[in-house]
Amino acid sequence: MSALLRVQDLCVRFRTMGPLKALATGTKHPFVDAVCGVSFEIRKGETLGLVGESGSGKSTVARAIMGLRPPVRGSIRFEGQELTGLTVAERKPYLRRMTMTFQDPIGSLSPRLTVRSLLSEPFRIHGLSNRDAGAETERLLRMVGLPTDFARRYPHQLSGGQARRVGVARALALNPDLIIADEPTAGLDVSVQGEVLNLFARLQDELGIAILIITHNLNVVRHITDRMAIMYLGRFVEIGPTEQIFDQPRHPYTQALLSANTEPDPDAVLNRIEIKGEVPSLMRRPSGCEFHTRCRYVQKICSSVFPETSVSPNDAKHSFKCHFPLEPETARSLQQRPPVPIGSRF
Amino acid sequence: MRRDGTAPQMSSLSLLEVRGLDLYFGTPSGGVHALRNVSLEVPAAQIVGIVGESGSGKSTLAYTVMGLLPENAEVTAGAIFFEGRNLFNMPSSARRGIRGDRLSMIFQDPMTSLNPVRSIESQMIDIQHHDRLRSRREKRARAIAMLQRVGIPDPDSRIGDYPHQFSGGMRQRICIAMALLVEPALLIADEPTTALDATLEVQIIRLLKDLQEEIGCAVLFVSHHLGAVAELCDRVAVMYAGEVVEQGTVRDIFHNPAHPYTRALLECDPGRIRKRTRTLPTIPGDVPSLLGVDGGCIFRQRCPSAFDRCRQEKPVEYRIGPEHSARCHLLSEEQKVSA
Repeated sequence: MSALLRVQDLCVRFRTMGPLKALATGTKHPFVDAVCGVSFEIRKGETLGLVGESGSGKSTVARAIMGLRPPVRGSIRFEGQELTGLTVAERKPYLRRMTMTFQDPIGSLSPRLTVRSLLSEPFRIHGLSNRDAGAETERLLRMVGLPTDFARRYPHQLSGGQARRVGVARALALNPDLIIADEPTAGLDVSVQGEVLNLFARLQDELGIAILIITHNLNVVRHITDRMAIMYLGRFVEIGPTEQIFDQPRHPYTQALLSANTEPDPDAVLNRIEIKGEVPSLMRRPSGCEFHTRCRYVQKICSSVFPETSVSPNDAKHSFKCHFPLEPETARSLQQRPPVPIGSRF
Repeated sequence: MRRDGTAPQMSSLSLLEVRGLDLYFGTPSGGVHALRNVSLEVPAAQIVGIVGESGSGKSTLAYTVMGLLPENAEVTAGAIFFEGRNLFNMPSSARRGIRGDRLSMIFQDPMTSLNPVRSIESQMIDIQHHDRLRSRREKRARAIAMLQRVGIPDPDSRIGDYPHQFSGGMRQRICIAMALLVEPALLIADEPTTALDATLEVQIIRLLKDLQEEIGCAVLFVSHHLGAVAELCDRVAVMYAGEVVEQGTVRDIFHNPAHPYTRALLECDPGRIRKRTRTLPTIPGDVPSLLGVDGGCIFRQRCPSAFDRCRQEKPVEYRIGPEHSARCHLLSEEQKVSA
């Protein structure tokens, strides 16, 4: 299958100080590279998960794809059409086909509009106002499993889970080919989290939508994505099929991240690999392999030479950046424990 | 199994005892019955977790103990005993004397719970204001030692910094350092890891556990994260819509849940599901409105095993084990026989 979205060597840069201050303080490079040389593709109907700690650049990748933040370098192609450098008007037809749901479910809905106007807004923006707004609103509300009388409500009358559904409905309004979901489960309770994820899975099955899901919740990634990419300081350190990465992580950071999952079982024996310290500042990127300051397998070469991308010998889709990738045996030490039984009382 | 209509008999050793607490929030559309007949105990030097979803009243309970309720809150019944004294009968000056001395608290959001315009140093010295014996210099030295203990690198120079100069994880460490600096008998931690990444969360949980053992304080740990509770707590209370529906030791709750809500909650956690699945379990329905709560079981609309009695009668607390109890009609002997 051909790629729906292809991102190559994407770099996004933020300015840290004004030119005058940079001149006064003698700062030669008054920028941080929030995203640095990221390449990936998403095929039709596929789900890709983007995982990483706060500040790793996950959301910035999404915002760059949507054109909310122009990249300094790299290309973003949607069905072969280059999107970087397009004017707002030129970009508009593509924004019909790829949509985004934002992290804050209530904050991303205008508080002054009813659910009905929120849901018919995409049609107005894209010049489709001849459609019957009432009928479309009903269709969308039904699609995301909300009662149709919600159309009269305002965002403050919605719970987090309901607002999230309205956000999804809005993203679905124009039958997109790609949805970018930024932390779709953040701030939701476990019971509601399942509902939102099931909704995404159902819509994907029914409509064949590709999904780019950004999250730091590994349990979510494991269940709903086909492939996953792990980001650290704005770079992909590992990307590959989800099951394979959970089974055999090759990058030490992935391994540590996977083991940082708390277990809902008081007797779980945790082979936890604790990562020392915190994510280094983007203003002072470590030399060589950027993870070497926290890596438990660090060697001399790691602090001086940047590791090139290597490909897993048994699967060309699984690639990683590490001088000393974990061998399957080491990775296996983290292997899944047997399921936790819930005692049955009833 | 013994039918037990009263709250479990509590030992005189318990540090904190909440008995039959009822709390209303006044709103323009009437009173919201936010806590109903809540009983809970925290023994000295133990970690007790309160789990529940948003709106279950877990934070309200923590704020009630701390005495930080908003003005529209009204406690209509019940008592909270802390070190044998009823907090509600105490003059406010005495209550203030306990807060920040015997009782301290960590809040959910480390970004907003520190004063942004004052240095960490002055905030950490201020929090020791109950201590009249030590000099300012000694207090500063204690603060530095505590910062060192919670893993702030180079605390000597960083103590003069302001909150915005620290990352989120660092700020939560500072909040923990501040809360424990006064060597409280009880630390209330309200969702201390919710705003943090998974890697930081495990670090903070480990830190809390180590410090709790060192200082020997009790901890009331409020969280909606089951994994964190399982890892940290000795005892757990499960709250739903303002009621404690089940409580017991951490193993009782996680290995042998008795209340249908606890079971549903545990089953929903994707961390438990090992096999990759496309459809995750959910709890159908919504949390009921707490405006005018009627007599039946609060969970009945969403309960897979609800029957007639659940609509008519509020379940009392049934004892299941020495420390394990739950409010569910399915646990009554009569029902077990007839079902």
